[in-house]
Amino acid sequence: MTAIIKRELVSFFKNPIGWFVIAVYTFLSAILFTLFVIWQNTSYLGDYFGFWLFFVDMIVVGILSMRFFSEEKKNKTDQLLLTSPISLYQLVLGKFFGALIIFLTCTCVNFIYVLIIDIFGTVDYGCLLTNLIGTVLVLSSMIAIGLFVSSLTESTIAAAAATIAILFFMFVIDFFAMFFPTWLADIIMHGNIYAQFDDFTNGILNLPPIVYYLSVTVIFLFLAVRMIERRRWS
Amino acid sequence: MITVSGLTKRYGNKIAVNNISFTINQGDIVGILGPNGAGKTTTMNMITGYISSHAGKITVDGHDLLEEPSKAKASIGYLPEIPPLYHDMTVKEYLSFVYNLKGCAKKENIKKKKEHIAEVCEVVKITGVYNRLIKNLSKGYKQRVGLAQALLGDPPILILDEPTAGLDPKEIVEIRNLIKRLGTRRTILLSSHILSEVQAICERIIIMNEGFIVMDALAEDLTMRMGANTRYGVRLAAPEDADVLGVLGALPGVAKIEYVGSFEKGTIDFIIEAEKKTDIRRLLFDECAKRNWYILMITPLGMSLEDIFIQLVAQNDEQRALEAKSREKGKKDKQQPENSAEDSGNAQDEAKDGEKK
Repeated sequence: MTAIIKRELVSFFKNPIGWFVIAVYTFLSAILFTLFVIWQNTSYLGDYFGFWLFFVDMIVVGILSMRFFSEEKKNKTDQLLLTSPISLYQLVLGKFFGALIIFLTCTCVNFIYVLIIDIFGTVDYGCLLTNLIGTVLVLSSMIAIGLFVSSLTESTIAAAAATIAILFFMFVIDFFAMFFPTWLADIIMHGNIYAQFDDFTNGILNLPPIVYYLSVTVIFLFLAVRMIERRRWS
Repeated sequence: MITVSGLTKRYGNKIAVNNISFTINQGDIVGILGPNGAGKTTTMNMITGYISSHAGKITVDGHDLLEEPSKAKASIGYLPEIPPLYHDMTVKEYLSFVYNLKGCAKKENIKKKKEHIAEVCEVVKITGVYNRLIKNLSKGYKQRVGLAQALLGDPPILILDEPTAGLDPKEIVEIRNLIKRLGTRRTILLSSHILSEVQAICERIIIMNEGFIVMDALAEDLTMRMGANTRYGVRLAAPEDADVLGVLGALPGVAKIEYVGSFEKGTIDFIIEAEKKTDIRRLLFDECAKRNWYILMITPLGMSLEDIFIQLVAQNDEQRALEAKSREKGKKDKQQPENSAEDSGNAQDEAKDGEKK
């Protein structure tokens, strides 16, 4: 599994696209920081982490999902991975942790903003910690969804587009919920990947959202493994 | 070393590999030969665990591929038709990745990473391009890097899918020699659709067509089978009025003689075919010498791969048709006693009815 993680990291940081992604990520997060923190004259980071940063992650996960399995399949390098003496779970987890580390590296840019707030105001470190924990959990769920979508198709463009579409749909799912009966709408709204993040932005570490994000991660990783296995049998 | 029994793979309604079985012993160099779409790559992909089979069992180095996939896969070095290379990596990075991926560090008999990779690079002769990006390498070198990744971890079995496809003649010879050298202490299964290649490298040849094994024989047997037909192309300088075809066609042991044309002034070309197990070359020479005809050229016309395929497939179809017939006959024979019993029963009933009336 460590070999796969290492390969993902080397490939990302050696590729110009990797640095382009980091640049876009930093640029967008700087705009959001300016909009939600500096212009609001506040030291509260919840809004920054909460609403808009998701859009950035959504697009970046989409771009990264192209590389997960679709590109391997397209370049026939999946033959090396699937005929090597590692299990499918090790393969999928290797890809997952590789992507998570890449994202966490991108997220490091936030420490610059923390430093800026610390110089000009007061940082609520408790709130910052819950936001960071929440971000890691949301990213895990998003990456797992991206991995699953990538395991479905050989087309890298389709993988990116489908991942962004699914993550966007999960964002606007509340809108569709109002067309359903109340009991069903409640269930649908609980499935909103972004609504579950509210507690973290408010500095609250609650068990249900943690369980929710971990469940989404595990389920989609499991589905990705099953999908690769199914393709081997088809 | 590799045991395959009743292996079947379907893609939708098409059966790509149909109930094939074979065993490859330790140290064998076996070639799978067949036209495109014969099922060679599918068979190799199943043995290496890349795709699953719909029926059958595969055992690699004593490990069942379904029950102990990791152990079975650890015994195999696989070079697919398109080498699985990451073009954004250097050769060094790529081989280091494969070394880690295969868990070579945990193997007892494997040297330390740097030494082992250096050793493999030396064997496949890629030391000179060790620090170069894979995407900048020539096709021949890419193939060698692919072979190097298959050799990492020192697997006892090598599976090579069309290892010389797309290479230039010089590279083909080099890769063939390399495979031969590797085969001195490894079991090798390779596929090709080039007969001469398989003959040059392999001791045993499995011929596949449309998912079936149509022949599994030693390379020598195949060569004999190919040489068994005694057809020669002959160019003869003889007087224009000489009845060459009539005279030579009447020689004992000649089965057929066929005029081809005249490609040089004062000569004729023809194909002469002898009866089985007859060498007509001496007779032909004596007869021509007696009549002062000059043999300018004599070329043995062996069977081409296509000829062998046609022959083998025809035999195979015939055999399958016979089997199907005998199965049908068997079914009919089984049904007949039942029918006759029913008929006799009906006749008895009718007789009884008649009596009652």
